Amino acid sequence: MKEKIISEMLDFSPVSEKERDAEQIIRPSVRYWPEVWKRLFRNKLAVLCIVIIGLILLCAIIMPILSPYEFDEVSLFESGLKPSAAHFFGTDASGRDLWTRVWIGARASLLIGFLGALTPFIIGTMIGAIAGWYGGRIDMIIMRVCDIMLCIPSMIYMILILMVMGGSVSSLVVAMAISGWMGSARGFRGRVLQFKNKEFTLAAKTQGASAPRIIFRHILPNILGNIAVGLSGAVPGAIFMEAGMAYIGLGVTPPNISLGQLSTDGITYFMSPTKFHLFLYPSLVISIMIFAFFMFGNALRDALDPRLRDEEYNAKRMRKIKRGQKREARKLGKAAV
Amino acid sequence: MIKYVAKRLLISLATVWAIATICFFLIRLLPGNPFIVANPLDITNAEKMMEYYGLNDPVWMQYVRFMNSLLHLDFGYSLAHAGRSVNEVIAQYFPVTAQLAIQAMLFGIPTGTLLGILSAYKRGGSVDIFAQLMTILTTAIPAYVLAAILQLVLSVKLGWFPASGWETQKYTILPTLCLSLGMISGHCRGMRTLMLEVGQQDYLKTAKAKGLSEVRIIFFHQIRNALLPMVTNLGLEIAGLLMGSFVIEKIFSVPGLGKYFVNSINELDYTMAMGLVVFQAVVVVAANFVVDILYVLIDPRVKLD
Amino acid sequence: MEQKKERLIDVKDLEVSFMTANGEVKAVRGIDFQLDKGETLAIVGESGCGKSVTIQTIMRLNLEPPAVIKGGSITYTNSEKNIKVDITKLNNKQMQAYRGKEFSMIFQDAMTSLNPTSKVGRQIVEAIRKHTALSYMEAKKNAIELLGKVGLPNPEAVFSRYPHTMSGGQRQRVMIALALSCNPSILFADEPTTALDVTIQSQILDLMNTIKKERDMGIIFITHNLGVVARMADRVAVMYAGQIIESGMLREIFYQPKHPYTWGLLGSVPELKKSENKRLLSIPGTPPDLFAPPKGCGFAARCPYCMKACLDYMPGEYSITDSHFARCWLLDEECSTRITPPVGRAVNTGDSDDGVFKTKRKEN
Repeated sequence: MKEKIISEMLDFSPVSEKERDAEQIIRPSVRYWPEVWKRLFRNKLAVLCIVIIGLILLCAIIMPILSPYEFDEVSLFESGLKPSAAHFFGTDASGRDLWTRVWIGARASLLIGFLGALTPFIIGTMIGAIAGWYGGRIDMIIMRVCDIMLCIPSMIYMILILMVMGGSVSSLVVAMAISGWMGSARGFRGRVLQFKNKEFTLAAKTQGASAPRIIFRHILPNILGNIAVGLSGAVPGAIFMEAGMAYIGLGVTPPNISLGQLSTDGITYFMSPTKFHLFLYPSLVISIMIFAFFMFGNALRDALDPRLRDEEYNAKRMRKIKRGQKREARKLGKAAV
Repeated sequence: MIKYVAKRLLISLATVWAIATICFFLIRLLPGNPFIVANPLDITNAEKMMEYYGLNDPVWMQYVRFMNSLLHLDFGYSLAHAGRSVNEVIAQYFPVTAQLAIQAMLFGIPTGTLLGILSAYKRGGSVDIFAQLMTILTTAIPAYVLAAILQLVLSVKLGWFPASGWETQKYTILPTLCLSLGMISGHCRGMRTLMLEVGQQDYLKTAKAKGLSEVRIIFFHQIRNALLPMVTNLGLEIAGLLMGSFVIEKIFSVPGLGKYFVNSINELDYTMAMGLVVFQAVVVVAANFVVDILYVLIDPRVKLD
Repeated sequence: MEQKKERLIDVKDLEVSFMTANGEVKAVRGIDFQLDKGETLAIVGESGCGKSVTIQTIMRLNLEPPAVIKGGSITYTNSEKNIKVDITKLNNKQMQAYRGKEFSMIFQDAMTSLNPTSKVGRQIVEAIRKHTALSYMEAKKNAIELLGKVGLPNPEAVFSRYPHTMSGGQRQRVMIALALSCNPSILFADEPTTALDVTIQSQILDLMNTIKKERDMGIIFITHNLGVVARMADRVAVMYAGQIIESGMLREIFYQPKHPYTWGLLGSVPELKKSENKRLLSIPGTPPDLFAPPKGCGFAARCPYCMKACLDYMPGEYSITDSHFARCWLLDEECSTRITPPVGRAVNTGDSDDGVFKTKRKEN
């Protein structure tokens, strides 16, 4: 690259402003969210997860409608059938079509997943905003309540609320809201405190913006990324929680079903050679569902904070170089021998 | 320091009181008569029993009575099973649950932490990939399914461990393993993130600039600082463990508190349910208390206020 | 005038790049400089110009990768200890013997540069024991002595304090004590006073000057504060976009700057004496993107005196005196443009001491 510069090549005449500015390479200004989406869609696993989630959503919506069977339709002649063209996932002991039941159950599980993640978050954010914004005594009381409620195992809330309200999707969501709002309240309070005295908040304040406006228009957008990651982690958590509750006998009560309930019921047939499908399909669908949400959450986090991925990339290369050095050293050693 | 301990103790006691009160009123909201549930045919007897146990008294009176007995650490008698006191049930079955939880912690925490350190040190290496796979498995597959699979493979097919029951030490291995799986992946992920976070701190650069060896930097500066925040989570983790043990106990037929807990609620056994809830709360609050004190001792940055 | 001192560091044509997932960032693009014993070299420039990368490369503190030394050499000589090495050739393990012992560094933010969970004394002892065979008690004695020397009152008590219980100035003193603990021959200071109050800044600078005189060390000082440069430096190197664009003795840079960027830097400092309505200069625009550095002069796009040659060719080094050189086409003898700089004295206008000064172009 280093060519010899000869005086004749040099042109010492001044350049116009325009010419000079043309030279100024300005990186195209990068907008935050479009860039995040770009990174997200470049990640193959993330795209796969989105496709899986989409498929599951679609199936849960249309499959029960398309299916000729009702999910609670008992048919003793067809009890315990293995999967076939008539019953894709086979039938259970009462002859109910498992395919229909799985997708009806998926509806409940998805609902629990989304609502169980969103409700505690919304409640927690509101409470956290109040605590952080008003501070003082209000803050102290809210935070004390938070501390105390965090000490109680969330299982206990669940059990108590399910007992009082009965086992249904709505009572599960209420239980999750009551046992889960403390985390997001604490987190959001911290953010409000962090941004409360930042210049842009003060600027909005001097222009007469109200507290809710400042919190939701000025502070919330700053942490949208964290929220997205948190929520996408909470969805599989809620589905998982429901499954666990179902196992100890506290899920949705019949005739309503959820995937957790179905896979719990199926676990009795775990070692049965003829009815293994009753265990397999519900467990498989719920695992794939949680997996897709979980991996999507991870991919979203990577897309929002590419620094960590850069790090990983470098670490990998560093090891590669080290390995190369070792190999060379070995070669040299051999040559010396 | 004494002032700090006293303050923490006061908060802990207040927490226990709050939990007890909430539970008391919530459980009273449960519809139905416990004696009818226990013995559906004998309604007159059920009414008599209600009277005998004072369940027809005004709620505030029952509350005062409950609090009074709580002060004496007496959780009362079971309503569903005559003659069985809650204290007896706890004394008999809690040690099993505690053993399971403690074993899971003793195995899970060091293993998870170590895995986290290794996978942070060799990001993208085989340990890291293994740890990530494990995290995915334990988060995606419901605990009871995973436990059932392990039960099938390790005890039924391979015959290494007994499939269920709780007799010799050998029986405890599989439940402990299953209970600690979630913990291992949780700790692994947490430790990995913290290690990477600490890795970007300026003081590691200072340590490097001092000429310290890589091993010393990692052990004395990075791991030490990454471990501290992990300690604060211990209290909450114990709560999670108690919950997880319910599922595991059911799968492996472990005679722990979990079964009694669920049963007592299904049977509307007020005193039993309440006693167990309060007892669990006390365990968790006590654990939190110890962790808080411990944290002050090990992290010089915490201010005693 | 000045006697020739022993040369400590000789950097030749150093190139450092960062490999990121988005491509190569050419952070340092071929720089040369030297440091003699007992001399303070100030490297000046705006943030992102490669100052920190340069000194961290000398100590090999950059993580490699992403950092890669693409070329050049850094020769460290210490005749007392009979050392002469090319630092770019050392591996991490060999480098450990030099870090802390031969070179040490003071960072900008003493708050985050000290391990928060370790007593400050222990952190000093750790460094001493790494490089000497002293016992813990002896090392502790040394450390306390050092803490006293850097002006911390009651050093015994300071020894067992944690960083967060100290003020910013005190922590920076601890950092200095830590840096001096093994009697290094070169001290790197990466904006050591930027995070401090002005009065504390002044104390820390005094302390560093005293120590330099006492120990006859070489100091490489990074800053963007020209006031600090004036107080500390013997020589100044001005960096821009990964290159040293002008370098010279302190008075040469301050009174006879030759590069338009240096004029801009000097013009942007307010002066008390000149009370007339003189506006502060500012340099419009931003530094070039080092993902794709310009092929010509890096400053061309922001330079008010930009010529055609500047856009097409990288200017070579023109030496004005033995110690003073700059990279700017304006200095070429064939360049007819005459410019009266807003600061210092004119370029090519012949008002140097012996009439017309000659610039000499080095072969590129």
